[in-house]
Amino acid sequence: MAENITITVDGRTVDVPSGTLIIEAARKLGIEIPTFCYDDRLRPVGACRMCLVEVEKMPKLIASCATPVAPNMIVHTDSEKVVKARKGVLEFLLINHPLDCPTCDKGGECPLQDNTYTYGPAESRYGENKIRFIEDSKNQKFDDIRLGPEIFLNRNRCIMCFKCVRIVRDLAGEADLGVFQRGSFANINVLEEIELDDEFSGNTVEYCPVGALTSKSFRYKIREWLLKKSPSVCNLCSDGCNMNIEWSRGEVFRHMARRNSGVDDGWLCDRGRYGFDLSRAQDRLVRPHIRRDNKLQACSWDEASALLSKHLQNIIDTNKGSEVAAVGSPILSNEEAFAIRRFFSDVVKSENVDFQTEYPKPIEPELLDLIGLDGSIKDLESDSTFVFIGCDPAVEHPVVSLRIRKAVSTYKAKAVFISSHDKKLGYFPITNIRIPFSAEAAAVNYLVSRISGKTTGDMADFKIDPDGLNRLADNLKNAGRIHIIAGREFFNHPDRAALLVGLIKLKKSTGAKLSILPPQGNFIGVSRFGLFPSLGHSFENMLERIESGEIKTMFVFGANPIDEYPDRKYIHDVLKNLEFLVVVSPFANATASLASVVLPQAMLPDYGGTFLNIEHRAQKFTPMTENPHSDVKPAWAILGELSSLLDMGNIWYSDSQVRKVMIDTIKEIEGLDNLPDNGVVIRFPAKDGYDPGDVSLAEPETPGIDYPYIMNWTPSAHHHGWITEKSDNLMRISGKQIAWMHPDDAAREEISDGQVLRIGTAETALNLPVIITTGVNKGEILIVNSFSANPVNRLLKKGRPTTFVSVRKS
Amino acid sequence: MADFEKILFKNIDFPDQDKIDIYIKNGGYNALRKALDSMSPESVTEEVIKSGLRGRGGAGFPTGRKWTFLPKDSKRPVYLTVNADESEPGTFKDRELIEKDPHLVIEGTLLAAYAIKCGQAYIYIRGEFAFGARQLNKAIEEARAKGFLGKNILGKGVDIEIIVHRGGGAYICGEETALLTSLEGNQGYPRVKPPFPAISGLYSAPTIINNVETLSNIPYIINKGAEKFSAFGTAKSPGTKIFCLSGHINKPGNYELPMGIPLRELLYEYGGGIKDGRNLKAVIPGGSSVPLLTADKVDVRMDFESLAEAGTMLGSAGVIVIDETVCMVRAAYNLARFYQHESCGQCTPCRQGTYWILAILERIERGRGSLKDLDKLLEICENIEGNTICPLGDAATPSVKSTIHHFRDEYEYHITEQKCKVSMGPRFE
Amino acid sequence: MGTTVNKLLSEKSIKELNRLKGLYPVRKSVVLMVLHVIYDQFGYIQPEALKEAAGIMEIPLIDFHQAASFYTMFPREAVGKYHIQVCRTLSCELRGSQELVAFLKEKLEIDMGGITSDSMFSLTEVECLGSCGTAPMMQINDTYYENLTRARVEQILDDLRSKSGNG
Repeated sequence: MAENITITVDGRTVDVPSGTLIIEAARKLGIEIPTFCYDDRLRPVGACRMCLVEVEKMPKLIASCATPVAPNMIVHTDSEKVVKARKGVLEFLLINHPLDCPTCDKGGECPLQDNTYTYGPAESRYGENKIRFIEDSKNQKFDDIRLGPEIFLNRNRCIMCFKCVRIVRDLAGEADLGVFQRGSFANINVLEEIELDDEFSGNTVEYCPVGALTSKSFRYKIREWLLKKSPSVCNLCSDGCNMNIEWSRGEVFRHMARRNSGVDDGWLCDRGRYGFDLSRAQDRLVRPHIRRDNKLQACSWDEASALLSKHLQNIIDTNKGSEVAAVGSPILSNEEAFAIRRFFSDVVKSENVDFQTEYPKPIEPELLDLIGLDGSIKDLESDSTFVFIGCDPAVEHPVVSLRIRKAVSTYKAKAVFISSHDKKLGYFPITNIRIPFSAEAAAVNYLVSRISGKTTGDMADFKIDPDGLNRLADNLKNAGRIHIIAGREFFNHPDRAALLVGLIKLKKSTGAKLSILPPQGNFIGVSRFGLFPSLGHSFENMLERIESGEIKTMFVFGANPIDEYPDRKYIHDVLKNLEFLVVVSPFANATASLASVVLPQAMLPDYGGTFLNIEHRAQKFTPMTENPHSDVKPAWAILGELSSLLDMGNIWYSDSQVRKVMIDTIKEIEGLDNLPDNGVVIRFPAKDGYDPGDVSLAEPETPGIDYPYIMNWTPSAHHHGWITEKSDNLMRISGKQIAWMHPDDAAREEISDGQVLRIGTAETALNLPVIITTGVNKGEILIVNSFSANPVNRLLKKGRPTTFVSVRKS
Repeated sequence: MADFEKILFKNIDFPDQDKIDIYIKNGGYNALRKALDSMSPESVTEEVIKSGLRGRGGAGFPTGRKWTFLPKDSKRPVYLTVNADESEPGTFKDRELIEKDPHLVIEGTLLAAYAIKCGQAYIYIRGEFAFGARQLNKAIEEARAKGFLGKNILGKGVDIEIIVHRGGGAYICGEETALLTSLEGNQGYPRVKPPFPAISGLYSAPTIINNVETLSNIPYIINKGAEKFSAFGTAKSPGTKIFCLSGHINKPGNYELPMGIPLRELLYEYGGGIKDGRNLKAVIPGGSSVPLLTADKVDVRMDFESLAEAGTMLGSAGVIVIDETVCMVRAAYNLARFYQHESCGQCTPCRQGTYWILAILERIERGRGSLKDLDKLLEICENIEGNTICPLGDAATPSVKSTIHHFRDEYEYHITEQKCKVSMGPRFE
Repeated sequence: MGTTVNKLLSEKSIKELNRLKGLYPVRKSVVLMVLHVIYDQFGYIQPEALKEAAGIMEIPLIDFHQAASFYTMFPREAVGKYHIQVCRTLSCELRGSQELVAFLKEKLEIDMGGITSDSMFSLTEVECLGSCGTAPMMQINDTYYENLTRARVEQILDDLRSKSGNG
């Protein structure tokens, strides 16, 4: 459709699609036009005027960042006029700039510094007073304003490129940063009571072209030129954002985006960005421990390995492999998952391998093919209607949600959330269709019936108000590219089988794409490369067999069932029955404290490997080349050494070597050898279309008089899973646990906003401050965040899909 | 001066002209009736093109031609936005039209909307004109009651709504793209062109922006025909024009006269000469954004071409008269303060340049100037001009450059003697 | 999110806000008009009332604050019952606006930006109000006072004082 246009830049011609900006056309020729405010991912504003170029037959210089090419344009990027204008712009930018480069954090990576050096005037002609923005606080004067828990702003350094506000407002759709006043006094700021703490705020710092925006966790710590960069991939969710781990002398100082236009497009969420301090967390395990005198005591690897090999040797000799179980986790790499399966099936001769410690019921094997994104991450931008069921993309897939936000804000796509509580995509317009807790399957079945014109049955049992669903059904009949996305709540769903049946029918009746997205890091990778349980050997089965005494030894790799399993008391009691519990973990945690042996596991910057993200893209991460934690090891190294001690082969000494073995074993993954920087999407052959048939809906439970409220819970954008709790940065940003309550319930219980609630079951209770909001259903309590000190799974009970609680003032 | 007919101010001082009955009695809404009865939208546009009417907001672009830039058969709605954000220092003509003859503005707006097939027009009126906004809203309700506005106008199946939108105090919103950004609820930041508003304007839809005075000419053109209109004025600047006289003039105020009237005639015949019999020193002929003319240029004709030839512009025809007692450094400082205050802050040269200019002029005013400052000021002006997103940057420099150019001796005196060469003396009676 | 009880906005203001709600194809267009509603009721941008209005309009609060700080018509703190704004741009200065300001300062016994002790008057200078042909001039609240002389200014101040005294 778009035809090509030929233009001339500095005497050379280039052919570009119509609509291309001049600055991009020049870039194609390798001509870099300097700019401060231009970013190809953001709406052009043409504000800084640094990119002015001369176009023949045009009376004025024009902003190459905001002007599309026109046929036969002749552009000069380095004419006398252009050089003079650039010099003028730089002189203007510097008149009110403090020129405090020696004390500025941006020094060394500052576009203003670099461009001034290359294009600017040699000396200043400015002799007037500079505008100073000074923050008065407790009788002290500061240049810096605290915008939020992580971000500081020095308005004197700001050159008003509008990147930060475009990131916050246009990209994320948040409303926590703005431009105030005008003219030379125009300045960026937040409102007094509203902090800059949305899930993308760190991008404003990374892309600030001066040292105006700085991160609390990085400022004043180190100079940019002292940092080394290790290309890596974030695993704090399953999006697989590419990043550079920036470190010096074995200490990580920050995570910066490493743009992969198919995945993250150069953005990081704050969870991934500020979680860089995990590797040096207080609770980091750096040495092996053995239980002696009923206490875990540090020991050497030799000691720990000797103990383990002796224990395993005994099992192997007596052919008691079935008494051993291994539990992995989505934080593991593909190589670790593969090595774990290999080791336990080949060496220990045990089939008991799984990683699903978070779910009461194991995932149906047929589901494996349905898990992951239907289409590519990039494709999301061109979907026209999103239906989210049990998925909160802003929390579960922050950076991928930017594609959805773009579809909504730029291409006017519709986003509909079917959920028991309100969800949002910043301030972008979305629709929340509220249903009672766990009524997703009923709602989806209703939609299917309505769309196919069948009788819709009685929704009264499920207390669903059909208006919103009717409207949605009618819209879906005529919608363009529909994408149904299920997420965390799908996997946890009490009636998952019925919900899955409904989703597949909905997909068929609307021609939609259906994506079932696990939120956890390498969920898809570990399921594909070894940790998916064979029938009868799921974590659920293992627990039963521990109770019955059939399983006596358990290895836990990266998981933390005590904090993860949806019944804290039960899992604790079961694991207590084990004779021998080995926990391999990067952090001390509640499960490790029960162990006989605890081994320090390598985590992101310590080792290399690959992950698979939600679009099955295999991506490589690399280690720091200096590491103060010399005793931490990835699972494959630990198991390789044990194999060697047991004299059983399978000696693994590097991630690439494990990968070679994997490639020999699994056909589809040849691409894993020699992965390019942007990774490779692996196409696993789909099995025949899964038709789960009909499943009848579970009857909704009704509360009793003593425990009249349904309890539900959700993680938050900054804290997801048990690991993020170990990051001081993330806890500073989002360390609060709260409960949502409907105003009518609050009125009945005479509870006011901010009061501490006691949320109790017959056995136990949590005390939490309350937010009164219509964002949650009447009769339901939604807990946001879970911490090991105040864990939500204390209230959950195995075999009870719905948790009923009482609520009163604490 | 040749005979001419008043097009805009014919009834401006007629008692109760702002009431619809009087407006109709004086021939009002005949043009609308005529257009809906017997003219297609295209023929209305054709007539306006033929009249040679040029925009009265300052740029002087042919109005009818502007309308033809709209995409044919746009799937999106077309918007008409009336620029009533009159803020150019020295200019106060639209305000008088709005306050005293609001129906003329409304009728012109309806005709333009009809011509461009627009169902929703906005009048963006500067926030301080609270009375003007009330007058327009009253006129709209009266017109609606008589069937001139709203659904199915005069039973001809044409729907046009007009909303009066009040600004909030920002000169920049008189710039057409800033006006649109402001109307969308944002700070008044001008937009990079292209795309031009006719292609992507208000809410990214095709949009025409016309000045109040411009549109107030349309009823006459439709009633009497393009030829009658273009009989007045000059060949390239047809029609009449409201000239706003202010400053040191005996009879300040608005004067509707044919385009091309000599400045001398305007000042001495209509304006009654220089106040208190003093001598003329300079005239800023087109609002504060244009270069000044020294007293010896007083025979220039007041039309787009003649003023351009004289090195300045007709602009908004806000004629500011400056007598011999005025210190030109102070005058330049006064306007530099205005532009610094009104710069939106979006693009670098204007945001920083207007601040720098003001800082230097303020220092010279305080008697702390240096002779080097004058060339520095000229260079700063040069670095602003042509390098900004919108014309505000270019508007801020002429007062500085032309005062230095024509009155360098006053600057030098100010710098070396640390005081004004001339002093104005008390003017507040 | 949450339930807000409207406390500060008058019935009239709320009615006007609800009228504005559906007026524009894109809701955000109402920002300046909403600020006028708040200004008309309070004489300045009362922050709590603005919060209520933002809630009613379902527009982020920051959008209103950005606009209120960009446009000059909206005082962000309480001003005098009669807020005097004197035009200071060239045409007015040529006709004595500096002297007018000095005269007002003397009469009101306040400085530029000040408020009289009885909160009756506040005084500021503003840029061109589009009333150059009738200079010098000032705007008091919504009303323009033009062709000012010392005698007229005294009369105006007296009238406002006595009007307020009777009211």
